[in-house]
Amino acid sequence: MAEIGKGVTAGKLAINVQKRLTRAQEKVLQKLGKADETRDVVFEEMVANFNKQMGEGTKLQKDLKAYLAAVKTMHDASRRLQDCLADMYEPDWFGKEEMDALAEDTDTMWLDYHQSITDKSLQDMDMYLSQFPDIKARIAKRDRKLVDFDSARHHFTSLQKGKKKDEAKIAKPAALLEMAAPSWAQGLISAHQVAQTNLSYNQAEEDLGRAQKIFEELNVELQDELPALWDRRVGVYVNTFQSLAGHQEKFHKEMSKLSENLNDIMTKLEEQRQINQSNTQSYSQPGWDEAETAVGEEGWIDDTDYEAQPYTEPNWDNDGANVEQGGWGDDQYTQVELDGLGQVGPQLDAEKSRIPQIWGKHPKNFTDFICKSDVNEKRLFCFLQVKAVHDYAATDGDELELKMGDVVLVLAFDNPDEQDDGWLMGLKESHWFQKKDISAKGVFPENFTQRV
Amino acid sequence: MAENKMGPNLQAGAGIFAKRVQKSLNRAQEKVLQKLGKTMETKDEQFELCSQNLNKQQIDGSRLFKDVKAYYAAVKGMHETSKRLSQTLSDIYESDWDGVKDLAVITESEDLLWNDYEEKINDQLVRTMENYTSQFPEVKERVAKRGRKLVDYDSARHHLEALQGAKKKDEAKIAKAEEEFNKAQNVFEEINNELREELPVLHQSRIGCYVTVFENISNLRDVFYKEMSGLNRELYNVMKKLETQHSGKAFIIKGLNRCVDPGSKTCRTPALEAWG
Repeated sequence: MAEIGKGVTAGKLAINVQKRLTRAQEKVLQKLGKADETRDVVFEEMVANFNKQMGEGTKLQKDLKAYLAAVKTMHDASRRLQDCLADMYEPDWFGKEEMDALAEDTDTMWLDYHQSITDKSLQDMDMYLSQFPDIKARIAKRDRKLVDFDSARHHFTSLQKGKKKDEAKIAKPAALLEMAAPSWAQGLISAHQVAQTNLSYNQAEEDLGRAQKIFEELNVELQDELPALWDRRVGVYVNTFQSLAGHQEKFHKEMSKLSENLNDIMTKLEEQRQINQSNTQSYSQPGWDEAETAVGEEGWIDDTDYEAQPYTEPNWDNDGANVEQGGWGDDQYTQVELDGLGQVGPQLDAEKSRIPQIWGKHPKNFTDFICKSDVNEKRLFCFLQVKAVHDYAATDGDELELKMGDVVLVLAFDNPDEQDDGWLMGLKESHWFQKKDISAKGVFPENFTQRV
Repeated sequence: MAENKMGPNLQAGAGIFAKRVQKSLNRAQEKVLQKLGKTMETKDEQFELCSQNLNKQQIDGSRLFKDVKAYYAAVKGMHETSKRLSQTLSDIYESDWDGVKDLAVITESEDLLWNDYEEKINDQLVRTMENYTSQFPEVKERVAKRGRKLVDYDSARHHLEALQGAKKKDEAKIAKAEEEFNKAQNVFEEINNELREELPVLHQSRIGCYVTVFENISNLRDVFYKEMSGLNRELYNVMKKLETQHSGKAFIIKGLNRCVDPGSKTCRTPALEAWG
């Protein structure tokens, strides 16, 4: 419009202003009840449906968008969890590659899901909704044109009514004028008057016709489109939710499979670890002291809070055999220290058979182990208990100081070669109860003691 | 092994010890103390490794806890938006459409399923991680305490060494220093032994924790997804029924049909009639 010229724009502006004034005028008249308003109840119902439909569609679109956002969040959270596991995973654990592959597949699955819903459901919804603004504009235009039509109608009607009155009004003065007019002008004035009135009348008639045509054109279009659109909504909803449900079903089925796979890997990993634990005797850890005792097998911290899943307390070192430690010598395993877990059985049987070798002098008497346990369930198994019948002053760092009456728990030598005739290796019972370790063992002359 | 002879009976121990000092050389004692010092140093280096493991374990645990919580929140988000979609569908569903009742049942079932899923995640995952991570502060505190007791032990040892090495030996002071030394040693050894046993176990337990968490979550997901896919299929079928019911209507979203025929019946406007 601007290209044509200022004059035309100004003209157009003027027309628009005029239009608006007329409409406003008409509306006021209608409101005041001075002019009747064309009402189309049926059409109004259609418009109501239209608005409802647009509202429904808009809500659906909003919900879909929110859902997709949640899907993305879920995907991210899921991936972060998976990363935690992957970072923890050591290469020698069962199923490292499967797990990595699983993580990839899961990731892809989420992306596909998000994509397909965006492409199908959301985009269809967007396209569906895009037609509404246009129709809404046309409905509004129809309304305006209807007002124009009414206005033209009223104008014409009033002209019609007023025509007769006007004619009567100007008749007398016109007649007088006629009489006064020269003979050549006779009849011209009245003719002119008639022509004038006829002109405005015709104009109004023409305007009316035009307004009617414009209105009807719009009206007819909309009357066809709106019901059809309203009916189509069912199809749209069906499509949307069918497509959504379809994708969801597929996604959930696949994810279920992947989850199952992950579960299998985890189960097998647990089994593997359990097997490893029971196989290895040495539990790798920094070697603490030279002659210190076994790694504690205090079970895991109280796991009663792990409710739903039976989290089995790992049997870390549930075998009775000790972790290797300096100074003991695995072969001479004749004593066992336990912490309330583990069984003693098989090892001890093996050990028992070795007793005769060690205890050359006393082959038969030491088939039973004596168990010393304190309140904390720490147990020391020893072969023999002796009681000192005489004081003995240790003359060397390796010797055990004895006072008459001390109860001594006899233990095995670290190295049988070290054993001198007549000497035993032992630990004072009092010391055991206090310290619960065998660090203070020492050798002592057997003849200073007596068996109990 | 001489130091181990200083058992519970401090008097006797001190007596023997004093005899030792008289009997053997002071140097021997000093050497022992120095050797002990070296051992302690080595022990402490080894402990340092454990301490580092502990810290890493705590950090990893916190991370997993955070991610588990985020996962839980995300699940709730999915539930919420999914529910809204279902609700909207219910709202727009006319009462005379096929499958109204089925839809209601499906919506209800989905909601229950989501709730169940959420609840189980909270119980089996969030709480598990909560318990797991809650144990670290206490352990770290004890590690710190051990450190302090070690310092005490070291200083008591140095003090004793110094007294031992002095030209003029004050037996009374030495005896007292020995007593303090023993005490410091006992206190330290006690906490050291405890931690020495517990820390490796704690460290190993992380694997169990992770395995538990991921076993649980994969199991929960498996069940949830299976059930949910069944409900999805049902909704799909309801939609199919609805489609059949309205099969007369056009479904394609294309350009609208335009009817511009002024001569046709539909173009007659009531306004004209009113005007007459």
